[in-house]
Amino acid sequence: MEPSTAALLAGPLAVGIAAIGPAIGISLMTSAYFNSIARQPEIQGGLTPYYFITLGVVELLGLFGFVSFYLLFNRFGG
Amino acid sequence: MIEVGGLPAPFNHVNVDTLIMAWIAMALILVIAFLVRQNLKVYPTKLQTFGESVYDLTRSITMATAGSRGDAFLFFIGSLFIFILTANLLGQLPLRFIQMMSGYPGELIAPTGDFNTTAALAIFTLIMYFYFGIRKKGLKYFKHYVQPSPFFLPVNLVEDVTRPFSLMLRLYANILVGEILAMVAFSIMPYVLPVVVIFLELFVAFVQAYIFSILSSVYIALLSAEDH
Repeated sequence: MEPSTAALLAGPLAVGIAAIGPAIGISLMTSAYFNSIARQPEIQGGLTPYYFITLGVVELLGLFGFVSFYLLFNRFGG
Repeated sequence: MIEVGGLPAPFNHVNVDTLIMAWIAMALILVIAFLVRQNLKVYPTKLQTFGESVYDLTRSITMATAGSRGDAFLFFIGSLFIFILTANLLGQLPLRFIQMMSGYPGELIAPTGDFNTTAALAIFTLIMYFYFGIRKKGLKYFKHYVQPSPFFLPVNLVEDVTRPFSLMLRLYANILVGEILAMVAFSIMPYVLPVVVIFLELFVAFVQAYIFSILSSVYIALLSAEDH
């Protein structure tokens, strides 16, 4: 396999596989967030900043995949 | 990209498009801030209400993470939030579609879609949390590197690199993904499809500005907190 072909295959795979973890994590987090708001609606204001902090931390793992794809694509694919 | 003389290899290129877009963002912020500041009244006008709500939003960020202690670094978090939000929203103007059709060989995307901009912002966060930590605790600030036990020294040292790096990467990658999605949508179906992506991006722009400033605020608050 040519290096450029391998890179073209590897890029989408990197994005797809890297998206699995954050998808599961953000789903779990959001379901817990909505559950707690449903139980105690008055907690929403205090909870939202922490929700977004964790969202940023979890989401980063998926973005690593995208960045590696982008770098590979610029290097070999373009 | 243009070259500038007199500097070593990776630093002698300037991304002119990013620079222009960042200048436009800064000019917008300056003009709006000046207009809001023009005539302040006890019974606020619409513009003043807008300014006050922006202030309240940024203050809620520092209040959530540091309480009233956060007023010391509200100026920094507020500037970060407003600049990043303006820059992200600037990228949602259809400038890049016009540029794609005109054949101009650059990319007029949001200035935060270039990692040089976000790296600068992240490095300033690093400097700020060193500054506030040292101002609060003096040289005892450096004690937190060996805090639970001396074995944690490498972990704590690496953290100073990963924190700005993750801040940089998160904002840059999110905005870049949005721009690429919009360009792909534009090349598939130029009339309706980009609008959908742009509406999604308006939400992402706000969330990313919020996350960047709240994480910076958390880092500053964490490292300038009292010892227990």
